[in-house]
Amino acid sequence: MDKVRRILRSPITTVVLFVLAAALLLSGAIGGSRAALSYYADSYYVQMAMQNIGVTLNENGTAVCWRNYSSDSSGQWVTSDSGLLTGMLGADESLRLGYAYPELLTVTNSGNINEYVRVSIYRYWVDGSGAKQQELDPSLIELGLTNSGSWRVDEAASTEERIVLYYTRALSPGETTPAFMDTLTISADTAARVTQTSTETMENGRMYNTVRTVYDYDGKEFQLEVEVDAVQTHNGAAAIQSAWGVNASSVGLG
Amino acid sequence: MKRWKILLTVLALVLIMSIGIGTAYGYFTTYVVTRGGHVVTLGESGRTDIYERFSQWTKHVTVSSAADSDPAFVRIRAYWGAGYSVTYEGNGVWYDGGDGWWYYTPILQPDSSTSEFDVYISNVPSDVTEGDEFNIVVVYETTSVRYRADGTPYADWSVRLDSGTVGGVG
Repeated sequence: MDKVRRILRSPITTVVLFVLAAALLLSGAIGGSRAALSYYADSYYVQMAMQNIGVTLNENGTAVCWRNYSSDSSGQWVTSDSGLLTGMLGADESLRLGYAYPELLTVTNSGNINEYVRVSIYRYWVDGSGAKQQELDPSLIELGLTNSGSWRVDEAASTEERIVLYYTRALSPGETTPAFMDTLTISADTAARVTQTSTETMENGRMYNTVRTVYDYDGKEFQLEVEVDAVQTHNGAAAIQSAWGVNASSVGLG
Repeated sequence: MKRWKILLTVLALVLIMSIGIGTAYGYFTTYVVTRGGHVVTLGESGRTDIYERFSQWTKHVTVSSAADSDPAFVRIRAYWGAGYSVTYEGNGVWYDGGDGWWYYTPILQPDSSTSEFDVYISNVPSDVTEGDEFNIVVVYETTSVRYRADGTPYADWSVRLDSGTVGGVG
């Protein structure tokens, strides 16, 4: 026992342990910097370290879009996007104005850490070339928002075209939220937005009066766009402030 | 030597704490964006036309729809002058709406025609001779098919898709 004490008290032991600790710390830093990843998005930068975060959007029970970080082998993002509303209409089926099409949208945590989730829904009209039609009314694209107890609308950030929703609690790995939307309806009033012209013609001694109606929304394409953001819950308030630019408590999180 | 120990211990603690400082600036985030949509096709206009044939004091009226037209609901009525009267026969597919209009029950599909709607002219004056004119005007209107949330079709007659008249029977 005395021998052990002598060794522990020895200055050489202290120096050796210190050098060892420093070497361990340095090697840890090297590993961290290797794993660090910067990803550029339209509006902000995202920094990643060695844990897997992921988020998936589900439409009517099917995963349609996800973006998951995988550190298992390549350490890269795994992404997929098959688009929305692909199964809304049959091959020869035309859109029924006023009919509430099932559009059940949920979010799954497809990573391995807890996360907070925010959803932004955009609705707008485009013409045949894909150009946005600002003069056409987004409210004719009716969203059947649901589960208001689990999804909180950020009224301050929402507009006629954009609705921002916050899931009111942390989402665990593998967990799926209740639906934030369950139907999509193109309002029957869309057919009421018309321009009419009236003409009178005389044929074979008979007077014909013809009213022609041109629909303002004919040939226009409605668009439903959904963006899902996820951020870690660890140090959540600061993470939300940094990544989303909002105060966590003001949106009921953190 | 004791000072060295204290110094090295403090230094080690600082190094360990510095690891926490480094990760505090990196947050785990991700996002997905996807979209979809469909074109709303309402037709340039509900292109329909009215046809009639006249026999035995009866106007047999049909309304036909162009191939590029939309499915539509159709209604019809007639106006006539004094000296005689008019009655209707819906032939099982036109029903009296009680508002002066008779409504075609099926939805008029593109490139198709309604069944005949008969307008009988009665109380014809006895002194009528061939060549005299009866001023009977038949008016029809169409409106696009709309749907309730459960998929049930209905008509909103406040918005007319197309309309037309035909009259002046000899």
